[in-house]
Amino acid sequence: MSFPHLDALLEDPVYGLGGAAKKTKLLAAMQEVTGFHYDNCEPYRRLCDQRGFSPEALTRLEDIPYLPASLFKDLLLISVPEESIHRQIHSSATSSGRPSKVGLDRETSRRQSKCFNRVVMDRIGNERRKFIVLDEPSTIGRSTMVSARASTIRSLLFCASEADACLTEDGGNLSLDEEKFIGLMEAAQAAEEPVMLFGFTFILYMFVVKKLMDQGMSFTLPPRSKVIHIGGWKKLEAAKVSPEKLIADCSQVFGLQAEDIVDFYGFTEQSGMLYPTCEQGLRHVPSWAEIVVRDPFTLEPLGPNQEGLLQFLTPIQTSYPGHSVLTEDIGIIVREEGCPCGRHGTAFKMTGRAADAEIRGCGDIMADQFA
Amino acid sequence: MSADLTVDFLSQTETTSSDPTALVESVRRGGETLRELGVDQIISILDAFSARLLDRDLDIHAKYPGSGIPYIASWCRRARLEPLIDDALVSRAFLDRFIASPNRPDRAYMAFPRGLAVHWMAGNVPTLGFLSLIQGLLTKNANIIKIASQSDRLLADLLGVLADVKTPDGLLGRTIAEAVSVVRYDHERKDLGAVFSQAAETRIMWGGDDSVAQIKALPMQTDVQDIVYPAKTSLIVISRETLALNDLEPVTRKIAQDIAVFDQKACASPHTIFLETDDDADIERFAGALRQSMERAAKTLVSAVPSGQSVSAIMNLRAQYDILHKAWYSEGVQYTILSDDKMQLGPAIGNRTVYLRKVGALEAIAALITPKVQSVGLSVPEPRMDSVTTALGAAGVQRFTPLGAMTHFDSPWDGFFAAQLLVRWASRPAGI
Repeated sequence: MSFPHLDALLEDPVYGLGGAAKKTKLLAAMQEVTGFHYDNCEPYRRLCDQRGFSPEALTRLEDIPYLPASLFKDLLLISVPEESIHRQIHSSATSSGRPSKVGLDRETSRRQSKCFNRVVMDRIGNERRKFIVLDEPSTIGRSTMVSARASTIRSLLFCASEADACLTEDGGNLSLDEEKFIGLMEAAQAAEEPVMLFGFTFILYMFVVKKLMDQGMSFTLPPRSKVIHIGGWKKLEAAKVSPEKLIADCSQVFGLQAEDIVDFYGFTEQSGMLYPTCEQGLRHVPSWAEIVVRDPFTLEPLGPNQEGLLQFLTPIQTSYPGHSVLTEDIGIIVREEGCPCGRHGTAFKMTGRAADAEIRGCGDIMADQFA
Repeated sequence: MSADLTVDFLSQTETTSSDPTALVESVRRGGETLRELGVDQIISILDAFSARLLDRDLDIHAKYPGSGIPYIASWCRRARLEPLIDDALVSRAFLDRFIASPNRPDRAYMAFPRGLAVHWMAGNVPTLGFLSLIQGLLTKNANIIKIASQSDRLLADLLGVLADVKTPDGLLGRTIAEAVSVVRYDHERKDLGAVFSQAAETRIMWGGDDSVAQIKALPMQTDVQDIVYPAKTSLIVISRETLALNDLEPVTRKIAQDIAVFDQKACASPHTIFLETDDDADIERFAGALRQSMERAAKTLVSAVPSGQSVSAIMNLRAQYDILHKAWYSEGVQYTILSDDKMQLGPAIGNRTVYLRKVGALEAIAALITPKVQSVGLSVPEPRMDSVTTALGAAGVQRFTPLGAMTHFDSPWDGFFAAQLLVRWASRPAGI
């Protein structure tokens, strides 16, 4: 199987395509991949037929049938021979108790890794940095059993020159290893080398930022250092911590600019796709993806600044029909093209995660490679 | 204690009280005044309230669209209330005075209010809770209504309308409304729940198993009367004779109404429709007719916008049924009809999602009936009515209705006459 349009698309700069040029190239790649899934995944073909959709007749991205993210909890859909699936990835189970399952062949894994790495490097730079991981040490150690949280953390360590974890776990309770953490922070300040603080959103705030603030502690990290966080907002929302407060408090505690606090969003059903906040606080769709915001009642596509359910389209998955996925997450398109940060393509904002949105294992795909 | 107790009283004012006990005493005093009215006078006021509610210019209609206010209006009419209370107590006159027993000439009976009825409302259908309140009032009890912490103020605003009512012969709605308080407080405030529970002579609970268990665990009077309206599911059965009709539209129109009213959140809302057939063509034909009726209902009974999670659940089912079974649905998430070969109820999805299933004989549905099944909407010819209702009734069904009337709150409901449980009977020698 070959995907010339897809391959060509992946040669473009991460956020270099916009406007009509992007539409044309992405539509060609999506048509190519949608046709492949239609021909090779019988359940997907049945669904398309039932909905009167034919890939050959595709003229608009928003007409591609979308699968709800939760469908991957119920069905294992693959578009390649079973024997070529070299890895199944499972999301962390949500309150439903059912993890999502997607099957990857080597080609899809390779493509996802490439896309993932390019997005990460675009946002945090392509030099390897020291990572201070805001989690307990086993999440960065080598082990055969890998939790969803650990696999997510490890997925980002490809751009780490070294990594230290500075929380401890005792009987399932996390706490900050203050001595170690302060030592690492002081060493970073003294070395004047940028560092990356990385952890899950809730852990970052509740176990580190809040604790340091309560003690009146703050640091001034070297320029180009960043705080990177990923995961759900549900618990923080319950604790009345908004994204704005998290940014303000992180800036205060670590002596960084707001633009250096980066929130990553991704989900298992489209592993390899990652949407970090840019310097302006928006999220950008790379050249090989698009987003559609849908009215939660009519399901019709909405225009800019109208809030609705987020649908993500990308052709990078060829081993399973995860190329058009409707999530439970809510957001708005802020700009249809361009951003003061310099990136092209659609810019969007998350305005609400689903009530029981999981900490999405966007990095599961990378776990094998970097564990 | 209870510094953040928020009390809505008659809806015109919102006060912050620090003393739930004072609230209880206040509403008990309202109950004492209510007792001075005859039951027919109470019915007259509620009848006037019904007429007032039908005025579409009332702000409450715009404020709470689609919340069943016209339904409450229709339910509070004299013509509905009189048989409701007569059915429960043999004669509503027992509420006003001692009446000699027709069976025992030496004894006379009177039904007194038990005292204070505390109603814990479910968040899903506050309208239904109002109907238990009406029975509390008809039986002359004082009433406290606990609404969900985040729920709207519909009930309080309805009481505001009631308070402003005046009948042609000068009876005031305020007399009734002052026997009621609507309270809302945070879920965590178990101390407040304890005060109200301890004070109650009757506890009325609407809600799921967990909510009911939590209320039941509160401190209570030894002889408290509990009335529980737990979460239930309902279904529809369509006989082969109905399926043979040339025009199914009159049937599916009523079904669409049963599904759409209360947006399928009520216990009496159907989630499964059994067709007495083994022919897939019948399913196709029936689904086609139901789809058209659901389209029309979507325009006349507009539903609320579902959550992202609910949309995902619906889209998931549509995808699964497109792939594995059969599905018919709207462009948006207005309604979804699913069909498979399973012999089971539901599951209840909500947002106007319904399963169409085949069954060889309607009586076989008895095997699926559990105590969680409440209502069955029927389209069965008269000669077969006894056979079907006896089989399903014996299995546990509590209520059979014609199509289009499933969500008409009625008595008995959930297997009992609530008014019977809201009174305390006293007897004395007759003729004194």
